[in-house]
Amino acid sequence: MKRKQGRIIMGTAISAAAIAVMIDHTRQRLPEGKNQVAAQAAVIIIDEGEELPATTTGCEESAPKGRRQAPCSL
Amino acid sequence: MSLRSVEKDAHAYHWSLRLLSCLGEMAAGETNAALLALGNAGSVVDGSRYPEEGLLFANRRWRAFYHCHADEAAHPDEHGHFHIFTDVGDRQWAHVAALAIDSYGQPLHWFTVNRWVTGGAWFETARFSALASGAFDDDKEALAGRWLYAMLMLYQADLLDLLNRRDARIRECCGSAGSASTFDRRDIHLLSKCDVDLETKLGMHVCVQSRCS
Repeated sequence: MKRKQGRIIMGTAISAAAIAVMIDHTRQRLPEGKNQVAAQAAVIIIDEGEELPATTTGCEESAPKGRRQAPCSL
Repeated sequence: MSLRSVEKDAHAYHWSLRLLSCLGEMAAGETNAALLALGNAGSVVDGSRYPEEGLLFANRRWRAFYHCHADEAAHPDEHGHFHIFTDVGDRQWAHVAALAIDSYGQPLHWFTVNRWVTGGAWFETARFSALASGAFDDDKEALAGRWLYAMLMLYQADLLDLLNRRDARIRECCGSAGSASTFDRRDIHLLSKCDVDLETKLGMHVCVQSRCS
């Protein structure tokens, strides 16, 4: 007696073509990514003898501490 | 044919149908999970999270967000990725895996990252199977969340392997120094990766042709 293939066929069966069509309809272009707007450069005139301004923009400090340490955290 | 094998087949079949149901809804609306997560964003700002507060799903036990950022190690077709976290108690969330998405919203591959990337609690691989079997009321969930959960369930065995390879990589990197020393090493980012071919995966579980061959 020929041995039967040991697989179970369950309920609904969908053709490979139907799956491909369904997936194809979900293939929708995502919006383009863009970089964060860079801080605009500013010209700062410093009189002789005056102190130089800080070199950081301050953005680093304004970001949540946890996010700075773990860039992909919740 | 063992009982375990029958159970695995039933699991894969069940989640294939669930995923197909999500894909059917998305196809009707000409959308996909990434577009749903992005909402009405006309453009995607690098590093921003979509949605900002995260997408809660599966009875609020899982949480995800989509984002894009430049990464030299990323797939050339990658647009962005979902980071997927699970609730591990004590108000802590642990990163389980990320799912890379191409420019047309299709999944490319699963991957895991080092702890410094996502922060939070380190996900213990042993918890994965138990976490991934809880029941919930599907109708109350957002479509993108249902799609993500069905993906997690359908790829359960692959994700377990992915997490085991993540752990092996950590062990390999830490040597005698203990894993804690590796978790913060900025030179170690990607830990493991697993390709996704959704059409083939679904075909394996629900198509008559493949079942009878």
